[in-house]
Amino acid sequence: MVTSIEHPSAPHRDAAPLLSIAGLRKSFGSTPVLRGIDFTARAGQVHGLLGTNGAGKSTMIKVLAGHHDADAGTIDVRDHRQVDSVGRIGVVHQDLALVDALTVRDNFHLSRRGGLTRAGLVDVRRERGAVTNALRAVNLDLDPETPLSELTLGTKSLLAVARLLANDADVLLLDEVTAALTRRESSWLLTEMRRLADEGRAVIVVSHRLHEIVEFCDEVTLLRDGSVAYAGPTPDLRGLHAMFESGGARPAREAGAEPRTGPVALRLDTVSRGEVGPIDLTVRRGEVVSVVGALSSGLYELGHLAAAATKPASGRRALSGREPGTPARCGFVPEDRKALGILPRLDVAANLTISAERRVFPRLWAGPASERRSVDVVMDDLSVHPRDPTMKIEDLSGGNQQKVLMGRTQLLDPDLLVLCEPTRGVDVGTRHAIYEYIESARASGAAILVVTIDVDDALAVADRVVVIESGSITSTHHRDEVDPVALLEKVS
Amino acid sequence: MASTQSAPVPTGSPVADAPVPDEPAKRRSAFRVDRYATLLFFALFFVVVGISKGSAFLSWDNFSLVLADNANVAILAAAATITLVAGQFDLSVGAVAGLSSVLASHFVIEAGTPPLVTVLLILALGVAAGLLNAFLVAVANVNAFVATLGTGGLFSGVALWVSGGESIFGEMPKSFTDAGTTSLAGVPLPIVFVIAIGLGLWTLTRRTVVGRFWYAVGANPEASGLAGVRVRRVTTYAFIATSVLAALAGLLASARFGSADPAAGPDLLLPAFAGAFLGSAILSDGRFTVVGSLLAASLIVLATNGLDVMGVNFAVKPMFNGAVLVGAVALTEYLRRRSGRRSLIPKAT
Repeated sequence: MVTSIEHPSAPHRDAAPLLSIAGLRKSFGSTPVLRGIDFTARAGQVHGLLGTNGAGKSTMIKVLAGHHDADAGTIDVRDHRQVDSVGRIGVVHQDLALVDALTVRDNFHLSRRGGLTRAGLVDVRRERGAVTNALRAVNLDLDPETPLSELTLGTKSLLAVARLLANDADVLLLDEVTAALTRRESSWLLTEMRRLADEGRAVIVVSHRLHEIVEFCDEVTLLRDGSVAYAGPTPDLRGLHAMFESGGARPAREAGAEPRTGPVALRLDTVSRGEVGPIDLTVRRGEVVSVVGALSSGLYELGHLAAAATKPASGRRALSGREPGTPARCGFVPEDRKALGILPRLDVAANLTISAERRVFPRLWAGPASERRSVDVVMDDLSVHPRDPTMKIEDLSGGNQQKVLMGRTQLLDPDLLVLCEPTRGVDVGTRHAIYEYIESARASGAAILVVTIDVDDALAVADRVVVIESGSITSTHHRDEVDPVALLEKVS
Repeated sequence: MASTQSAPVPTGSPVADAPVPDEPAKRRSAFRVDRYATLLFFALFFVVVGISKGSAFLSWDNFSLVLADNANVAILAAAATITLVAGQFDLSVGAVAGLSSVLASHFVIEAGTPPLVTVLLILALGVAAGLLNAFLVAVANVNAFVATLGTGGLFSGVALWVSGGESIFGEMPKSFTDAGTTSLAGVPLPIVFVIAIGLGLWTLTRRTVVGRFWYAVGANPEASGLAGVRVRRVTTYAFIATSVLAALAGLLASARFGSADPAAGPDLLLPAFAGAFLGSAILSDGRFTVVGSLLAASLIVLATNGLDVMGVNFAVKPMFNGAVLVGAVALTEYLRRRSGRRSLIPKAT
């Protein structure tokens, strides 16, 4: 049950700003990503930074962390103990930048400064003391010689925060760190962050879990298409959700449209592998099923199993083709575009045709003419921009790379489409192009499985929404019976 | 509960897109200058040697002789390129060529095997060597660098064993040596073979599905696998193609010289890889191409001949090859970093 939470009026609205950003701009090639961002985080404040994929959050964080230079604008960081002096900003990224094979102490001293040394050698005793002290600041009691691999993700993220504190960070930025944590761990981490803010620092939290934002943040800033769409006190959960909706990210499909579903195409029968399963799931022809869950729920593993990209340890996966006896074709778009999707340095045409080589080139001879024709059709259908099949794939924007991956499945004319995070890191226009592609594939009789942590995505296209928690399917909802807010709660 | 209207108050004003300087275009033109600089270096060197030594170097007779004598190096460079395209290393190419040369000479001189049967046996040797490498790399998941370093030792060992460590000389059937020593319309046959192999491999890599898959697997094996490419099979084909070509290189060498030196194989490795990497650096944007490798390997053997003609100590030859290899990779990586692209050179470890 969702209740709106009365938020106390933010206590620190007039406190000194520790981070002031003015007029921040950044473009990649000809694509503006940040169009003049103003942002203020004050001492004693926990500030939520929100925005859908492609809104510019990660670019802004990369600029703050010093990975990118801004094209224009100013960033001013102040010391939280002495506002006149320049301070430091510390960013914890989702991967935490910790090395599992090393101990806590080793990890702790993996920073630009290196370790504490005496006469050129590591001073173990002094390093242990420093670690213990820093860990105390976040209420962690750990042996500095513990191998990192023995720690839970929650402890690791606090360790990453402690490392920033030891490096005198005045502004702490958590970039979707909670996404991979269980609810308890995440609230533990955020309680500590609240306390660190109360000591006079500024804390910025990037999270897709809106209830966390409501519970822990004094103020929020919402980015949309590279601009600030809202900056002010944290609204309640429904208010926040409405803010996202007004971004135009919602349904491509009319509510109540009758699903025109055919026979079962994909059947997972008590399939399990590793932490996932046993899973029973069927997807019919002409049906879109969304799987939603937290990052750690095993949803992508389920996606890979459904696409037969991995083999189940037990259970059975069956996919039937259009006519009995013909081989069934499965199109797959993996969740990590860069690592698992694109073929870097190859051109767009090669990236498009790789899955369907045998369909596009029925013979050994890969003739440029037959290739051009099918490539042209797909590039037009998905309005890939620039419309040049000879461009190197990595010279396209993320959104257009994603369109190419969609086109790769279109050329296959698939019986089953498995799309993991189809709209990750794409702008609103591309998002709609992708929704339209899903809709047209559905209309042509494909069975479609969308796997995403983004509830908006899941709802936008689905006939049925399936929730996965800790590797198991815990509930199934018809699209008209879904309460988006309740769903948000479930997946986080 | 806050009303939905009260929450969003736009504070930032979206601004029209500012014109952005056309960076990629600028980069591309700088790119070309760097590439041509390397070619210019070779051209200058040829001119200098040509001026001081005249037709002893700069003549069709000398060039065709050098290229025919070193046709095996060019073919070996193309051989190495196939596995590099598919994202793998094959360090056993030199040893396979050496073994093939020893076996071919042994068959035709000592065992009296008919030339045609010998050719078939050598091709079978290439397939077998490729299958062994592919099994280790694609099935047993041994790092290609390690696997082919090991099998290279094996092949060299077999060559020493068959030959007893001595060079193999003797009477060869004329039909066998003709393939290495006669000419077609004034062009020595080994050069004709190199051109034919170049055309064939260009077609294989750029116009067939298998070639496409080699480039795809080399660019991103995980993504290729998820896109439906049978990565293991495609990798196996690459290792087989490489070894068969290496075996052909050895065969051609024994037909050309009428003998085989069991220790010669491994020395071919350096110029072969130097050719492959130099070709990728100067004739494309760091992408391995068979034609580029053949041309670059030819440039390298001509330049080494230039050093010989100038009377430079023979010990400089491997130094020169090593410098070209490392220089070509450094140039490719430099160009890549400037264009912000991912390295295509397979990681050794």
